[in-house]
Amino acid sequence: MATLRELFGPGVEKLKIDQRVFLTPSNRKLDVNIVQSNYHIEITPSDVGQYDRLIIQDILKEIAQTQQVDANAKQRFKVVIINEADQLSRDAQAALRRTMEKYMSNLRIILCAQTTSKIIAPIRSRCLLVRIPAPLPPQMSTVLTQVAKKEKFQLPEDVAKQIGKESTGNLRKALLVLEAMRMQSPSFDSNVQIAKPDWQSYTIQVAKEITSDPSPDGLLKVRGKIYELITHCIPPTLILKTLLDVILTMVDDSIRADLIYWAAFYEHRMRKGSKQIFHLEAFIAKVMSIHKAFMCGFEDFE
Amino acid sequence: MAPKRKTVVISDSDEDVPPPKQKNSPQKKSKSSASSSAPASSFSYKDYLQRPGPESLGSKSIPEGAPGCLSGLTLVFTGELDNVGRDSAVEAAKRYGAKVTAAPSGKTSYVILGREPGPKKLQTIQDKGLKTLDEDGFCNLIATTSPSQDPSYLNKVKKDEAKVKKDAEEMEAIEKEQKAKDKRSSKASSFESTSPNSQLWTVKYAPTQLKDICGNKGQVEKILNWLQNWQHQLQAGFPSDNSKNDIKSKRALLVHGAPGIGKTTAAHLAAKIAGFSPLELNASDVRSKKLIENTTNIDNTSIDSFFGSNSETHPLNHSTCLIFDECDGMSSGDRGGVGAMNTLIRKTRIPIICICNDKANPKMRPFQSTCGDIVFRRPEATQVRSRIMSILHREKMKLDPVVVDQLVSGSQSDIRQVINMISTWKLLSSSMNFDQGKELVQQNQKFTIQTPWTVMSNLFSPHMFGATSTSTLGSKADYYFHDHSLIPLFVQENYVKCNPAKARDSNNEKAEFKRMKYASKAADAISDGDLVDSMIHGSQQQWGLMPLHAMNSTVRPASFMYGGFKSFGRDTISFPMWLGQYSKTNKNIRALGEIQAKMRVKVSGDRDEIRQYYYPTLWPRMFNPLTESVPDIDSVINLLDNYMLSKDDFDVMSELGVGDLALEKTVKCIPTKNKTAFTRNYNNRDHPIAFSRGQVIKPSAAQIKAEVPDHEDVLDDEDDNVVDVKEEEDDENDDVTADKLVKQPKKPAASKRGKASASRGKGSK
Repeated sequence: MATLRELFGPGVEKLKIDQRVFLTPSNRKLDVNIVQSNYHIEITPSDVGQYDRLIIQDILKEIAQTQQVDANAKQRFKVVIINEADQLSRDAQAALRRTMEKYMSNLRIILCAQTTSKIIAPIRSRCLLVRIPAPLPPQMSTVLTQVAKKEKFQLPEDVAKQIGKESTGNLRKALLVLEAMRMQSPSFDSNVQIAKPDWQSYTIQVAKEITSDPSPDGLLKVRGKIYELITHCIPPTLILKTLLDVILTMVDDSIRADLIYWAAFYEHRMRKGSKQIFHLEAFIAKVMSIHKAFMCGFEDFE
Repeated sequence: MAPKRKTVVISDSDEDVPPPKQKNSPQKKSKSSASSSAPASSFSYKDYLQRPGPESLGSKSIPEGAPGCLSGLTLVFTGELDNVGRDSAVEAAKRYGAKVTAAPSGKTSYVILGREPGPKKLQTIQDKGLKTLDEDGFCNLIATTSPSQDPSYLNKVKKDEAKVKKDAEEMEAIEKEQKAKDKRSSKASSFESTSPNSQLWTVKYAPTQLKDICGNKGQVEKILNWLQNWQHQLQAGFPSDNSKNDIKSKRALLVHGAPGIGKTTAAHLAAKIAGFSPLELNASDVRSKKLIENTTNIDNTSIDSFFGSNSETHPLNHSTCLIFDECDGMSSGDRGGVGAMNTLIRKTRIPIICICNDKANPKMRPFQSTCGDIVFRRPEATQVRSRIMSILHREKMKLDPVVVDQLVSGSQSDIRQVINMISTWKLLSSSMNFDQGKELVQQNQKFTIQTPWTVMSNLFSPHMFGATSTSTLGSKADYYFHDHSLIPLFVQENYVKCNPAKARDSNNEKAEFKRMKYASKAADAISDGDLVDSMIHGSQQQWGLMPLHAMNSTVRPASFMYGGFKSFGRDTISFPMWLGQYSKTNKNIRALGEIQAKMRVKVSGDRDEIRQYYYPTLWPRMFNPLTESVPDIDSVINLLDNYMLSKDDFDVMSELGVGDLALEKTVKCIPTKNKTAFTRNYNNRDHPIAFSRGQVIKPSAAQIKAEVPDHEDVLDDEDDNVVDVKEEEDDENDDVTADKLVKQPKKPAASKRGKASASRGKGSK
């Protein structure tokens, strides 16, 4: 956003949201939310899953064909921001390739992605790669203290540090945690607990159950809770990651390597398969079985 | 093993003992047998049900014996036979003519004891002083005994044979009479003059008397009664007596039941006996709405036209009974037939009997209110056997009663099929032994779709994958194909609830560990299955992988976890949660997407971030003010407005929490008073709306095709023109459609933006 403001002036802050309906060739309706200002347009094509190619093609062409009308505008081009570019399907990415270069005079594309590994090589070669590292904990705590100053309350330094550490480089998370904590206990006592989001504490509970009752019955109970998480929009991959993080702290060193291996194994399967819970459950069963074997001192058989 | 089956063979002892308590076979989980575990304190019925299979199967084989060498003996098997397997032992016993019962009684000749015999049976053996045999003893018995010479047994056999002969003679007599009649009537018409030899056996030996119908006696009587009362009821105007199964007040009957058990035969026979002349309409007649309306005069004064030239041979009068056979066979050609039939039934002046296989068929729904309901059930093997035996005698074939029983049970009591099978067999030879019968049954097996629940309990039954199991890999995979979309889900839902047979032979802790291990393996297999599934149902559509999917998603998990479900409590087979949870997830994700889209004006996070980080922070600000006694409604509404959220979004937000923020713990705490105050307050104000729904942009397929190449080539010219068009638009604001360079499908959006940018451009100037 800051870059855009430099380019175009304050006009970019005037956002409007548009929900457009596209019809696929197979006559399915797709709702796409488009955030735009006069100078830029922001889309998240991965929202529509496998139809993202269509959105990319339609919207980009449409924008590419309209030039900037305002003669006073600082730049002659519009900017398209594509969010979650790493979630784009192969087809959509392929559709981007040529368009990116062809409409150069009218538009610039900014792809935002969490990782470049899922972006196909032809696109990577056409882009200037800018890696934005997550802020370091000291930087985060500086920001937090500044915010606290602006909001006119005292933030003890150790709390700021702790939040910075807990939020693993996610500044947004850190700020939100800070706000939540501020609401819960305005005074920030020294022994205050870092507030964990609801889903995280719930997942930690599940992890505890997994290690304490590794049996088919326990698996059945855990399954219900996992469903609860998934239905409330917590992505299964995140559940797996959180579970692993917590479980690793609870088990013996000797089986940790195994657990990490299997977590990676099933996460890969989750992305390839269609019913993610199946793989998540297989992972949990595997963890239980490894953990059980360790606790009882049995060697693996077969 | 049907527990009630009786063989012609009875035991030689005539001791005065109470008959054996009818007890279900051990494979069936019945409560009565569960209670039988009382005497032995260490014995648990649950363990008994899930006992492991034989250990050293195949180390010995059952010797060949003289045919019928065990006839006259009544055997009881208990426990597992380690060397030969219980199933094959029972089969052998039956083959050699023994009667195998489930529970020992005074009439039992031998009890064959295996490993871990049932304690109740041991008790009975002691009480009655029965002879027992072990496995080897049983094999010796087969090898050494010669066919029974016991006089009482032979007597019984003779008696049975005599009865069969008598029946056959009776049939012959009736047939002769019929022939004589035919000869007389054949002078009048050439109809029905086919010689008995060219007739199907099913026609030739169709029942001619009520007592010839096998099974369903009560139902046939009901039909007969109804027909006899029909005229009387017609005169009275069919008064309803308000009782539940009141068929007398109905003008028509709906007879339904499995194929081949005599529904049509019974209807015809009952009509004849009640003095009506049956008139059959079946699936080979066209029964469309038009035909039924035109040809069957509603007053039934004459249906003659219906039959055109045949009208003379079928004189129709008030004593006609219309038999509307194979109702569910009404195909697309018979459009409206059911409806027309139903109107006819409402007004009919002759009795109508509708016959179908499946009453639950949606096509049959109209009949349910207008017709009386009669269910035909599959007759028991015993009810069919004597009839079949007499037919065999007439055809001079020699079949063992055991073989007949097998045919009947193999065809699920489909009498028609049994007779057809035998008549085909007659072409080859006039006798059949046990194995041939078994093969014949297998060849003629009807494939019936089982419910997922039956599939599951079969697939996970304690012996499914045991060494004694006779089912092949293919037949296990077939379970998947009963319903290939649902069965894997059922497996996934229920595999954990099994008590795996494989993990039973070890001590407690080790067994626990093994159970977990196998559960994990099964979960792995299911996970494999899902990968295959996504190749089948994904973009690749590789349907050829279905057998692989069957193996991974169904057979493999079962092979680890087989061992039976408990029949009650939490561990019963349940419907897959996955389906409900999946749609719930999708619903919530959609709602969350909407929230994110609205909040996007203020907040840059994506959907997951909204849920994971914003939500827990927003939550207390949204709901805490409402839980207080004096709710701070304004702050909540301001918050919502600030993020452009609506009341609906507010409701969605309340449902998204888990754990501490779950719906039950939170929103339920908001007093109703506050909730109504909030709603009232909210509705009284105006609220900002982030955006309105866009119009449908509808590129037709042809346009896409036409425009894409065109657009790539003339790109540069177009760019200039577009600007021109934009400027025109500014002045005229109309008729953009005339300009073919402006993409028509995108017109609304393009013009809107054009206007918007233009006006804003002015503003900035």
